[in-house]
Amino acid sequence: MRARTRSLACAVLSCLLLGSVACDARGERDERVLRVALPVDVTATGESGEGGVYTRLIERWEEENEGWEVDVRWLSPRADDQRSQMVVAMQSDPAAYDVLLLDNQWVPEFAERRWLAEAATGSDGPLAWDGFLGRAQDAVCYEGGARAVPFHMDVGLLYYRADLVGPEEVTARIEEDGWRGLLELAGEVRDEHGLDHGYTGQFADYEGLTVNALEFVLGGHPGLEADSRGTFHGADEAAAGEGGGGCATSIGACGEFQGLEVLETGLDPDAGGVIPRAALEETETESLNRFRGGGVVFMRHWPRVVPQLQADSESAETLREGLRWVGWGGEAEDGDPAFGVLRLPAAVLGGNSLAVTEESPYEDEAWSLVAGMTGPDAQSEFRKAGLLPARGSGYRLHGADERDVRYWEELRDAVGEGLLRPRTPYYPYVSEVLRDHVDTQIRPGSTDPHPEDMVCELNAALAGRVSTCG
Amino acid sequence: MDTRFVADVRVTTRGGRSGGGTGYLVGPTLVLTSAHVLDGHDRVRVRLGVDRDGRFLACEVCWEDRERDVALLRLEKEQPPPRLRVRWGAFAGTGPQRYEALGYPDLALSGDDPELKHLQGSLKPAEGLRNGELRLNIQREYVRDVPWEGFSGTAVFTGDLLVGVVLVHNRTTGYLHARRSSWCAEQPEFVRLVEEDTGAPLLVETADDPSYRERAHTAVLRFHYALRASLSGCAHTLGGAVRRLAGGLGGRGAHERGRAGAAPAVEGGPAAAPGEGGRGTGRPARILAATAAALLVLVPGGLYWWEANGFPGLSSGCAPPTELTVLTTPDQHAAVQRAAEDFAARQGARDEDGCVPVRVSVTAAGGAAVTRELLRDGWNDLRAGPRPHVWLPDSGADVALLRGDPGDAPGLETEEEGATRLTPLVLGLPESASGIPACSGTDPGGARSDLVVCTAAATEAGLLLARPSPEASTSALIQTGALYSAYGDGGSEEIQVAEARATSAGLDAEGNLGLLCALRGGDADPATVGVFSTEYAISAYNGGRALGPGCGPTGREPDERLVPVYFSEVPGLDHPFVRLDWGGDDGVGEEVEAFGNWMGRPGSTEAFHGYRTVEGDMIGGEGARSAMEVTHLTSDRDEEEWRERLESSLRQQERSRTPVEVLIAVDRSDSMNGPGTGGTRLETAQKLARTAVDLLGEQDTVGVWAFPEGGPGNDVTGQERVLPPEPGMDARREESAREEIDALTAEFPATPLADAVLDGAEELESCADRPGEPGACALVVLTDGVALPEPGGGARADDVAAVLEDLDERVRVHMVSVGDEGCGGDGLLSRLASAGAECHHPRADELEQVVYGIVAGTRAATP
Repeated sequence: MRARTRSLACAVLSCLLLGSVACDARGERDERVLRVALPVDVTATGESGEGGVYTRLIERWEEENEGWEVDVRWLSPRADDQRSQMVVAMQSDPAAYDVLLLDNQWVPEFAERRWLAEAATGSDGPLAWDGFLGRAQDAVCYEGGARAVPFHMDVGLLYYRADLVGPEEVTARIEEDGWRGLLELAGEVRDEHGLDHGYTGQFADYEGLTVNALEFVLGGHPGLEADSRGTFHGADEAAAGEGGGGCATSIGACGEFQGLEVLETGLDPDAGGVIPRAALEETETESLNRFRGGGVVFMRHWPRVVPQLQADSESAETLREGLRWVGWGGEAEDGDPAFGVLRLPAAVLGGNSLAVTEESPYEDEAWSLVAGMTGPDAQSEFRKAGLLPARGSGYRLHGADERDVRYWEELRDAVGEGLLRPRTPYYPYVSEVLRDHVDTQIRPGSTDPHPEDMVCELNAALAGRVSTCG
Repeated sequence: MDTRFVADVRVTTRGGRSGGGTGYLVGPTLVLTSAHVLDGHDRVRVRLGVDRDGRFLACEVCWEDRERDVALLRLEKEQPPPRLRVRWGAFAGTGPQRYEALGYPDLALSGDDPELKHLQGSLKPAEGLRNGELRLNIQREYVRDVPWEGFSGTAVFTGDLLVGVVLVHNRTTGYLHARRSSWCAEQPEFVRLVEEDTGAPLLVETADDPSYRERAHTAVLRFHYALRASLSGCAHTLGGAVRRLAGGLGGRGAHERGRAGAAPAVEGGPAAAPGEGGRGTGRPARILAATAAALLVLVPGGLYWWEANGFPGLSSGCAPPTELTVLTTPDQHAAVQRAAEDFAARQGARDEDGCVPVRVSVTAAGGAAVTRELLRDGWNDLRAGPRPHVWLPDSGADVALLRGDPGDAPGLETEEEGATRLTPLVLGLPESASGIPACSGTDPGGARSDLVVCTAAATEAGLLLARPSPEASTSALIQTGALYSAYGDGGSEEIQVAEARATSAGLDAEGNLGLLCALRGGDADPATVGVFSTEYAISAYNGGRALGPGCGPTGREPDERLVPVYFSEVPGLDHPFVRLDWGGDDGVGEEVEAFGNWMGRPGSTEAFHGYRTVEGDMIGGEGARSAMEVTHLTSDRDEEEWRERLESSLRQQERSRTPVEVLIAVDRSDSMNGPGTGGTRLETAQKLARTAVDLLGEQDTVGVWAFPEGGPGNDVTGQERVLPPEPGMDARREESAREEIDALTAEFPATPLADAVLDGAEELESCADRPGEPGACALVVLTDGVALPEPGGGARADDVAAVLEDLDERVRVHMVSVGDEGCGGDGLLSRLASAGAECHHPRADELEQVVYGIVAGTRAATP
C-alpha cells in the first residue's frame, strides 16, 4: 500500500515537473537579446526613445558588446501604468525582462517579491558604491543590500520670482517659520504686486499630491513639536537578520500631521489662502504654465523645468518676454521678470534605478548593461540632458561659469538632504491611503479626517493590511 | 552611517608637508578623528561628504587625547544639515556583529582624488576589550597592499550606532585598531564639547546583537512567506527549481556566486510571488525552531493591542498583493477605480491576517474604437498601458464589435460574464426648458418619451443638442442607432436632419462625462443646451461631482440642472464583465473570479451610487427614485445581428453628418522637435491630425499641408500641399492621409506661421462652393508657435486680419499650440488670435478634446 502511494506521489510529481518544464517552454528566449522595460524617455525626441539619453546609453553598450541586442519595451508615460505592467509581466513570468527601470519607490516591493538580483556594490567592481550620492544609495537599499543601481535622481525645488522677492527674505522666512512663513510671504508679495496667487504645486489626485503633501507633513515646521508633525518611522531591517545594513524601511507612522493644516489654510480663500483652488486639479504641466504665465510668486517643481523656463527668455524664436534665470538664490538686477530657485522648507526625493531580474538567463550581461548605463561617463550625460545624476561626479562642472557651478553644487546638496518617501513593499497602497486622507482634508467643504484614523490607516497600510480603524 | 558626514581631513604641517586622514561630523561644527593624523599640524581643512567635489572648510583642533589617539576638530563655520544626529554606541553582546566604515585608506598616495573604501565585516565583542579598542580584521577583504594610513580617524558603525574611531593599521596582524566610543563618552571635556555643539545630551546606546525576539520575528516572517509562496506558486516553484538546477549545473555568472556568499539573508528571505516559492523553504528546522520560540514569547493580549492599533502584526508579514489589471472606459474609470479599492479592502478583511491580497490597477486607453483596436492588435504597444486581465466596456455592444471584426485579436479570447450594472441612456434637458410635452418622460418608472419626437421638439424649442462622438462612445453609438432606426433603411435626408440636430451645439468629447465637463467649463450657455448622455453622468453633473481628469468636483449644483428624459426604444448600458485570455497562465485566475463576483454585486460599494442594478433599482442615495423596468438588455440579443446594426449605424452616421472640409496644416520647423506631450511637439501634432482624420467621414473633404515647404534658410514662406483637399474621405484616402501625416519630419529652420494661416484661409475662402459642397470649413493649424525670426517677405498679422475679416462665417480658422507658447502675451499666436483666428492652448489631458470640439463646431457651423 505504502509503495503504491509512493508510486502515485512520484507520478504526480513527475507530471507536475513535466508540466512546469512545459510551462517554461514559453519562456524560451532569443539568443543574445536582453529584454529591458523602460518608461518613455523624457529627454527623447521620438516616441520610441529616439534621440534620448536612455537610447544613447543602450546603443553605446550594444556597440561595446558585439553580438548582443537590447530589446526595449517602452512603457506608458504614466508611472502607475509602468509599475503595473512590470508587475503583471513579472508575476506571469519572472524572466519576462532582464533589466527593469524602476522608480525608486518600487524597489522595496520588487525586492520583497524576490524579483530583483542583489547588486554587488560592495566590491571594487564596476558597480562599486563609491561615488554614488548617499541618498541615491539609500533609495535602492532594501533588506541590507542594494537591490538596484541608482540611475538618476530628482528633488523638489522652490521656484521664486526674483524680481518680486529677494532670496534672503525667502530663506529667512522659511528658517523662521517653515512652510507657514513661506506661505505668509507668498501672500504678502502677491498682494503687494497684484498677482493672482502666491504659491502653487502639484495637488491633483495622483502621486504628485503624495509628494507635495509629504513635503508639508515631514518637515519645515519650526513651531511644531516633532510628535505633532506626522512622521514615518522605520526599522533597521530586523527581517534582514545578519545581513542588515541599515536600509531605511518604514513600518509605522505617528503624529498629528499638522503640516496638512498649513496646506489646507493655504488653499482656503476665506482664510486668505495663497494657493489657487484650481491647483487641486493640476499636475506638473499646469503648475509650470501658471508660473510661466506670471500669475504666481512661488512654485514647487522639479529641477528639470529650469531649462524650459530659461528657454523662454533666451530663445530668439519667441516674442514672449519670459522669466530671466538668475540661478540658485540669485537676485534680479533690474525690474525685468526673473526667476531663481531655492530649497523648499522640506523636499521629497524622486529618482529611478536600474535593476536586474533574479530569473534573468543573462544575468552577467544584464549587469554589464546596468554598469554601462550608470557609470561616471553615463552620469555626466544626465546633467547635460537636464536630469540629476546619481553620482556626485555628475555634478562637477569644469570651466563653467560660477552661477552654473553653484547651481549644480546646491542641487547635489539638496539631493543629499532630500527626504525619502515611506520605503515599504506596499508603497502604492500607502500612497493611496495618504492621498485619500489628504484629498479629503484639503478639498473644499469636506470634513477633516481624524489624525488618529489617518495614523492608524497608514500603519495598517505600511504593514500591507487593510485598516480596522474607526 | 551617513555618507554626507564622512570627512576627508587634510593637514599641512609647519614644515610644509601634507598629510591627512578621515573623520566624521558628530555635531554641527565638530569632526571626530584620530589625534595622530594632526601631528605637527599648521593648517587643518576638511571636506564633508564622499562626492569629492565639495569645498574644503577650515577648522581647528579643539580637543585631543594624544595617548588614546582621539581628537575633535571644530569647523570655523557651522554646517547647515539640520537632521544631523549621531547615535553613539557601546559595543557589547555575545556574538559577532556586522560593522561598516567609510574612509580614505590611501590618502597620502592619491592626493587630490583619494579613493574611498567602504569597509564591511564582522566585529567580535571581546577583541580589544581590555585596551578599550575594537579590532577590524581586514586581511580577508583586501589582499592588495593598501596603505591604510589615511583610514585613521574613520568612524566605525554597527547599524546606526557610532561605536569607534580607527586609530592605526597593524601590518603584522592585519587588523585595524579602533578606539571604542564608550571610552570617548567617559571623557568629561569630550562630552561637554559634543553636548554644547549638538544641544543634546550625549547618550550611549548598547550596540547589542539582535534579540531573540527579533530573531524569532524574522523567522516567523520567513516561514509565513515561504508557506504562502509555496501554496500559491506551485507550478512556478517547480519551474524555478528546474531552472535553478539547470543553472547550477551549467554554471551561472560571477554575480550569483558572489551574492550567495555576501547576502545569505536574501536566499532565505520572504518570497511572495508565484514562481518564487522555493526560496525560503530550504531551512525548515531552523525556521520551525525559531517560530516556536517566537510563539512562546508573544503575549496574546499585547498582540491584540498591537494589531488593534494598526501596527504590523508580529505573527506574520504580508506578501505584496497580486496585481490585477482592469481596462475600462473614461466614463467608468473613477467609479471602477473606487470599486477596485473597496474590493481590495474587502478581500483584505477576509484574509486571515488582514493582508491585502490583491491590487487592482484600473486604466482607460481612450475612446471605444481606440480600445478595440488595441485589443485587436494583441495589446503590443505597452505605451497605451498595462495589458489587461479584465475588460469593463460600457456595453455588450463593444464586445460584439470586437468579436465581429475581421481578423480577431490574435490569441485573445473574450469571455463575457454578463451585465454588472445599468444606466439608461437619456437626453438631459436644461431644467428651465424641461416643460416640452414631447419630452415629458422624466420618470424612469413612468411613461417614456419617443426619442425622435422629443429630439425634434427640443430643437424646435430653440435648444441646441450635443452628443459624444459615436466612434469614441458606445452610448452615443447606441443612441444614434436608435435615432436612425425610426427612419428605416430609407430616409437618408431625415437622418441627416436628425444628425444635424443631435450635434447642433458643436460640443464633442470621448465620453459622456467629458461632454458634460465641456458644458460645465466651456463657453456654451448651459440653459440652451441639451445633452445626449447617461442617467449616471447627468446625476454626476447635477451633483457637482468630478467629471473626469481636469474636471474635479465643484461641491455644488450647477446653476442649470439637467433633467433626464427616458426613451422607450433606447437600450441602456449594461457594463459587462469580460475576462481576457491572452493564452498562457497569467496566474490571476482566482483574483479575476473574485473581482467578477464583486462587480456582480454593485450595491456592495458606494462607488456605484448613481448606477442601477441589473434589476433596475437605483444604487445609493437616490434609492427612493423610481425603479426602472428593464427590457432592453443584451441577454436575448442575437449578437451577430446586433453587431451588424451597430456597424451599419456607424457607417450611416458617418455618411449623414453635415459634410465639412478640414484643412490640416502641420508645422514642421525644427523647433517642433522640442518636447511635447508623450513625445515631441511634432508627434503631438501628428497625433492630433490623425484624430481629426478619424473624426471625418466619407462625405467630408480633408487636406493636409505642411509648412514650411522645404529648403534652407529662414525666408521660406510657402507650404507643401502633401494631400490636396479632395472630397470623398474613403478608406483609401484616409489611409493615405495617415501615411502623409506620419511621414512628416521637423527639419526646416523657417516657421512661416502667419503665411500658413493666411494661405490656408484663402484656400478655404470659397470652400462652400467646391465639389462635395461642404456646409462649413475649418483650417486647423498645429504648431508650437515658435516662429521667430519671421520669414523675410512673409505675411504679417495685419495681412492675416485683412483676409480673416472677409471670410464667410462658415469658414473657421483654428490654431492649436502643441508647445509651451500660449495664446496670450505678445507672441505671434496672440497676434494672430487678435487678427481673428481661434487660438487653443490645451492642457495635456485636453489635447484630443480640442480636436473633437473643432470638428463638432465646424459641423455645427453649417447653416
